[in-house]
Amino acid sequence: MLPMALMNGLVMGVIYALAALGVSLVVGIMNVINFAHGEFYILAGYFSYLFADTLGLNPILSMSLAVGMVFLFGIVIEYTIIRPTYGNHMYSLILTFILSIVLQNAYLLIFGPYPKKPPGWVKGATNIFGDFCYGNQRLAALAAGTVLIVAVFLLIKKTWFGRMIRAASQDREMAELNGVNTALLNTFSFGLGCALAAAAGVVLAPVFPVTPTSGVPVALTAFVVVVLGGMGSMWGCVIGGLILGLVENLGAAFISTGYKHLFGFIILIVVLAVKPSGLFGSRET
Amino acid sequence: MLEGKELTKRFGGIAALSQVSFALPEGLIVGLIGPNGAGKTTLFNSIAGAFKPSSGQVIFKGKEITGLSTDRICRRGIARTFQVTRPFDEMTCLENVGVAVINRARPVSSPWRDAAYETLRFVGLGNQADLEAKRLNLIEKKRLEMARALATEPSLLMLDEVLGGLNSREIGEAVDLIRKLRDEWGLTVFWIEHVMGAIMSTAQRIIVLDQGKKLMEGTPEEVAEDRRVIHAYLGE
Repeated sequence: MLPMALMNGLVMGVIYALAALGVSLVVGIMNVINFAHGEFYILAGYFSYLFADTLGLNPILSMSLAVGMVFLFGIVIEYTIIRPTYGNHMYSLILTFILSIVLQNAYLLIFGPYPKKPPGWVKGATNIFGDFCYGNQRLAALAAGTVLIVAVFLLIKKTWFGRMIRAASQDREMAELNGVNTALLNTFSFGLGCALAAAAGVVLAPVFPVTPTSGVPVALTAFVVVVLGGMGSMWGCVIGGLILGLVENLGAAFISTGYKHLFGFIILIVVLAVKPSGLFGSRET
Repeated sequence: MLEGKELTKRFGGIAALSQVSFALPEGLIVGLIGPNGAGKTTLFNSIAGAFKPSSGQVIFKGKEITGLSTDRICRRGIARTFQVTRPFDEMTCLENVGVAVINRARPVSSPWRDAAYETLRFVGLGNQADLEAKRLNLIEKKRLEMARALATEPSLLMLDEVLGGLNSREIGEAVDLIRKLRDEWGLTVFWIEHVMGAIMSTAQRIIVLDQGKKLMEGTPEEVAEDRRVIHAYLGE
């Protein structure tokens, strides 16, 4: 049972990390907490279902299209709803909260209450170390999630776009004085944050079908991961996501599945009690 | 070059700046002095776009730039430094300067690394290029701040008390650097400074602010002898 729980934990951990990176990016650069993060995750699942199942497109193409559509949707949302609220974090908090409720109900109206599941990319299962059989779709999700996380790290650490993001998240005004168009950067970052939620969504949807409200626990977990790992730390997101995924699944396997989410919050409380800024967070100065 | 027309900035009921007009000729070092709270930094902020003046106009190279966003003003060719240095702490010196290089108006012909390194070497930080900015000492941070401003390729450089906290040898070096920028780079420098000896011997013109108003403008000699200036600094 242990290896199975470890594998499940790893898969979930990578997805949590991916979703948390999106939250962290938007918080870090824009100081906006996007309460509708989970709804963007679900939207990508629905898009991917529509393209692959209803239109019969290739799964990979469907997923790329879905992420692209959510990226564009994120940009529209930033431009119309978030941009007017700059300077007052409370407004964006309330507006994204309203957005999440509106989206949930829109999904219910459009797609109905039943779970929708895009087709898997691969079939069958692989025998892992001759020990147990594990679904290929989950393995593919693990691989895709890992590749995406590495891609995000490269984008932020190695490209000029990433350097502008880091500059603006450290000192917004100074970045502007160095010619960074922060308004444009905000729009793109918000879109990118949504696209990361979407990436997590399309990767996981073939394993866990989407329903109008199934984004809520994912977003909640993403926020927990960001706080656990330390605000603004990318490594924090990755390590925090993995810890949470593993703890939840080990707890579910050995103690009780009913308390699955409880274990994550216990870890959060313990970490915050010992290190209030999170695992990798720097102290507020 | 740069012209201010009746610039006024009110915060609530208080006018931090009222009806200030001035004109900077190209290629000169112009000092901006005045007692604390005279509105010097407010004037800088109104020019560089940190906030929009309540009324009045800022004209740069014949075009109005009043109230444009900070990044656009930067790309028009105005750079500024702050009293308290504000490097991007978590990034290397090279990356700090790189941000400015990437965003400047002129297309970068050489890769940004080369241009950024060149600028770092010019201010004497060539050996610290790969060091995180938070590890620099005060004088190095000031140099980095200068490098970043220069990397935006400005035609007007606005310096806000760059000499504060430096010893006399360091002041000498900084003043030489500023002169070099005017003479070799052809920059116009607008310079707030409290170190009177340095500004009086370097600037060709001095503008004096007091309580948000322009008290006078003239050569350093004229300013030093003006009774109103002495009064503003020393009181009765």
